[in-house]
Amino acid sequence: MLDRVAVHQTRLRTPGLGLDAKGVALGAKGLVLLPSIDRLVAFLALYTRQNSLADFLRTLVVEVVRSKLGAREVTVTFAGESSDRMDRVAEVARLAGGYTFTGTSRHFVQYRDAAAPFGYDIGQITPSDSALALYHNAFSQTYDSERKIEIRSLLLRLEPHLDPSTAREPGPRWICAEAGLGAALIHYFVRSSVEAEVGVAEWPPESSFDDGPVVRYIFRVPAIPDRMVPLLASTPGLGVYLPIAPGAAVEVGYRHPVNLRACPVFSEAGLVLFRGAGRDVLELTKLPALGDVGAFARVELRREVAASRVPEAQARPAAVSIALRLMPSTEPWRAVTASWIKPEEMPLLRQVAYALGPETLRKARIALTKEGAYLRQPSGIEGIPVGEFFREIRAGLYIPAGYDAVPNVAPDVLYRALGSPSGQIIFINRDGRTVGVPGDAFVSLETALLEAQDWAPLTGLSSGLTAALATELPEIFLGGTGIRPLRDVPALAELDKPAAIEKAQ
Amino acid sequence: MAEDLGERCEELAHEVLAPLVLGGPMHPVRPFGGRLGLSLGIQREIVDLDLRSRLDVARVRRARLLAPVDALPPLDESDWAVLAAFNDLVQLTNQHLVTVFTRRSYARLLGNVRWLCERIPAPRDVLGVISRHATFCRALELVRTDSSVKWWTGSARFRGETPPTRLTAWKDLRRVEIDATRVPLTEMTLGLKGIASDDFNDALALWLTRSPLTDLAEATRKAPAFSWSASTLSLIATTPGRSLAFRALSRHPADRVAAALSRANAQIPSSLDEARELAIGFTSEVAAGRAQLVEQGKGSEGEPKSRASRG
Repeated sequence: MLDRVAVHQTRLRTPGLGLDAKGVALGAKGLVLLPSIDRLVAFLALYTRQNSLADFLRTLVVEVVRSKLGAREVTVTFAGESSDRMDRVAEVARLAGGYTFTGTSRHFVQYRDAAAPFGYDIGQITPSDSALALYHNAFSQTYDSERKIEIRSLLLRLEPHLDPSTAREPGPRWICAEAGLGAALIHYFVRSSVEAEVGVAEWPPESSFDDGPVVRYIFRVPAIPDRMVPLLASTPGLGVYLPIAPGAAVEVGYRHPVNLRACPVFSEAGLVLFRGAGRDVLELTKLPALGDVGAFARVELRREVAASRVPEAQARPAAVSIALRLMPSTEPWRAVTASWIKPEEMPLLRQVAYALGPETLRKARIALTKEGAYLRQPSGIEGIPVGEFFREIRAGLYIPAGYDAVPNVAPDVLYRALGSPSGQIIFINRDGRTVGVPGDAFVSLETALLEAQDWAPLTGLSSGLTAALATELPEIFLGGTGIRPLRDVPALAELDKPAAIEKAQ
Repeated sequence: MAEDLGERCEELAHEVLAPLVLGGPMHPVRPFGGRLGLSLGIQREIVDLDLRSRLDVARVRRARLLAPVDALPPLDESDWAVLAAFNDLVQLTNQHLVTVFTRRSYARLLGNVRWLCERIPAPRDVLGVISRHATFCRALELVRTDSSVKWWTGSARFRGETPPTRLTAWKDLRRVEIDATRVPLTEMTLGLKGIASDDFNDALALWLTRSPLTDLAEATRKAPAFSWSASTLSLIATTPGRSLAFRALSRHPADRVAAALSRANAQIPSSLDEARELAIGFTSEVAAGRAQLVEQGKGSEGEPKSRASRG
């Protein structure tokens, strides 16, 4: 039924079909025919796993089409652009149970496959008034368009699947609290010193029995402490959402079937909250104004202000300063980006260095001190399993991994207590000793590994090598030097005279 | 004049530099003197590309015995000045340079060599140290073959010259005996009138200070005796320089190295505390390092052969 396009074939019968640079039959558009909307969702889910729809979102049209026999199928039409894109789409469509076509206006012919590497050409065009004519090796069919499907609407109607692993993903969170819980949650965050921003959003009343709009509090929390997660996840009226894409978030514990990051259909100025368990999506066309939770803290006024008096005796209160200690912590290790290698462990580091990859060698930085070597790598130091690990609690301040500093002061406060030394990287050891390493002392590990001072000196075994390298001895042969051989050699008294310089030159 | 100087420099490269680095017969060229020696290397490079390439390879090969370098900078004007000074130094041993009536010319040339060496700057960085050492490290390996030819009716002595074939022909018939002696650089002025061996060795010691790593590497020489100079102290004041010096000294027996360094340390004036501390500290480190090498050597003796061959 269809003719295979041959090598160097230039004439094609399909209207609007041409040959690209590789000789593949390609039209201006690509079309994927899918049997149902389920298959459409599967196609979108599979395609967005590794590719982004942003490439052809502007030209993407999804329609439900109807054949003359009444069968309904789904077509996805997009700009063909290149055979590379068509190949990617065809692979995914094949997996999703669809067929791929290419064409320009109404007539679409089957795209190339393994049997026809350069594509297909229509043997004979079927005359028809239909909006769409698809020609496949196994069939040819005409369709009329029934209705369009908007991708955004489709994504909003898709229900998220259960996925408990999303609860462990780090990063910021959105929290949506019902009106009665908002204030309590604000004060909870304020008391616990959790950084958060809060705003109030309104939704239209869910039914005619509601008096006014539905008010909810929207929180944006950069990092929820782990101890709070079970409470927030299990309290009715609270919903925790994981940002998936700009303008979209999915409830923690659920995952949207389509990779929303690859579908830029949601406005960044608004917010769409996908809820699980069959509940509707919460959509905000525009984010409300967000403010720091601290501004909403309860304020209490004193009756009077106690004025201070100059005491008669200069009695100073007893100091309440206490020594800093390090206590073992049960928290999982995070931000382990430095290590201390003692002098006796340096040979081990040298041995390990041979096995390190180029990326690790390039990114790791080392400072050599009398007390050993200090290694730092912002992406994690576990790749160099030598020495004692340190975690960074603040830029330029490290404590041993698996330990917490007590009293549990803020890292900035601790850094100020240490004098805020500029240009110094502070390491607090397990024994409480604090060491400062100048930041300039850190050099790239790959440079340090090849520096001359760390080379072992050559032993006498190299004498054979020296002999092998030595060529014949330089031997002087004296001979005559001609007439006046010392005519360029001035007298000693002439050497320091400036005039002699020009003459000599 | 400029062309003449260019030709002379090219001749210097072929006749002196190439044998010094690559080995082979060296024919020193006409002396340059102090002023010309300082200026002849300005924007100078070896025209013969093949020679330049062979010299670069040989220099890098020499340098890699001490440090992991892949390339060395070409000779700069200071290096050319050192080379000119070396040429003049070698010419001081040439009996054909002066006649009976011009023996005072040796003093003039010697003065020029000293003047030139005092004005050649020391290497500015460790790479310069390695580069200069790679060029001049074989200076003290220079030898001259003196031949004594005896035949049935007479004898003759030749200093650094090949005996003419007419004297060595028909060896059996004329009962020719040739006795060749290899004379090192430090003894080449022995027997020359007009220049004292001590003066020559002093000039040679001054010349060696222009390549501090070479000076240190040959610290165990008999003459001229090694003594600390500003350039050698500057070298061991830096950590990489210290490592290089240690590696260079590791090639010599430990007791001779210790004796040479101790003798040089004793010569440092007591007023120069910092220099003395530096020198004594380096001597201690060398001794400790050599002891550690010996221990490592003993430890590796018992290791399986396969590991040694793998290393």
